[in-house]
Amino acid sequence: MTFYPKKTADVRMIHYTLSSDATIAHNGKIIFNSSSASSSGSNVSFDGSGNLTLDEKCSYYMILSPDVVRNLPLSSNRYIDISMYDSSGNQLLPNTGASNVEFRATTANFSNFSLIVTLKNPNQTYSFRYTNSNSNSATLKTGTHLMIMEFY
Amino acid sequence: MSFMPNTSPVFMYTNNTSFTVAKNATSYLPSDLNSLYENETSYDSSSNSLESSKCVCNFDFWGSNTKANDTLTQHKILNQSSVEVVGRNTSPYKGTANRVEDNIANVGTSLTLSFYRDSTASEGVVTIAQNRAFFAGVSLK
Repeated sequence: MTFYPKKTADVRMIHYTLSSDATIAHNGKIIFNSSSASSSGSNVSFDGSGNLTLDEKCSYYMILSPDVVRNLPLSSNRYIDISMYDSSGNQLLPNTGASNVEFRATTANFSNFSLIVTLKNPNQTYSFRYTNSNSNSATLKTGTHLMIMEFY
Repeated sequence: MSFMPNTSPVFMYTNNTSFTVAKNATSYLPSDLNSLYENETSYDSSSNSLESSKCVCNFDFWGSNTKANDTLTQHKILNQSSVEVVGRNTSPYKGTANRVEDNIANVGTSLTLSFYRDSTASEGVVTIAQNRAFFAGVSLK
């Protein structure tokens, strides 16, 4: 006898942002330290170093909308990237669960793109990192938002 | 007696091979797709559509263009109610070292994903590399 559970899922919504604008170094982790609204019962949390803990029993759909101001000098040949990484330092790519966003324009503001994440039964901690091909730091603005849907 | 694990509603598909977006034509994703999470939903490569009971889908790509000022390459999601979401054309990407990227979303039960290049687009070739076009989302019953 085989039981197939009804394909439904309850969902919790979690939102993270930054309490104030912050400088982020090349290869630095985004420190989410403010949450405006979250459903009760979630086991999602960030520590003070930007490490994200998820519930292994759940599935996740996330949208990260970064708001970054690049520092001078600006050049199309100097690009910045924001990606998700696992605890082993591996960058997640679409075939492993997450897109990245890369920005090569000569303008300073970077807020046009979104990073999409899908994870099922995650068993690691994760982080969102900023990298700059010129190793420059940037200013991470409070317009940066992470929306998390937790299915359980 | 066996118990199936609870089914997750999230999904993500990516292109397993690179492909080009033709000028003056609508192009679709190649039929060879990676499915990160099996059995969550289905993509019909004959109709080029994502089939689901209820679905919210993001369609994103990251490609290269041999003409950085090509202004007439767009990507779209059309749903079963003829609601079409169209991404930015590549004009905002002038000076971006020929990289193009965008992210759009739509909702529905049948979502058709496509690229379109106008007849007056420049002659440059738009190439979407392996795993750089993806559509991801949540499918619920």
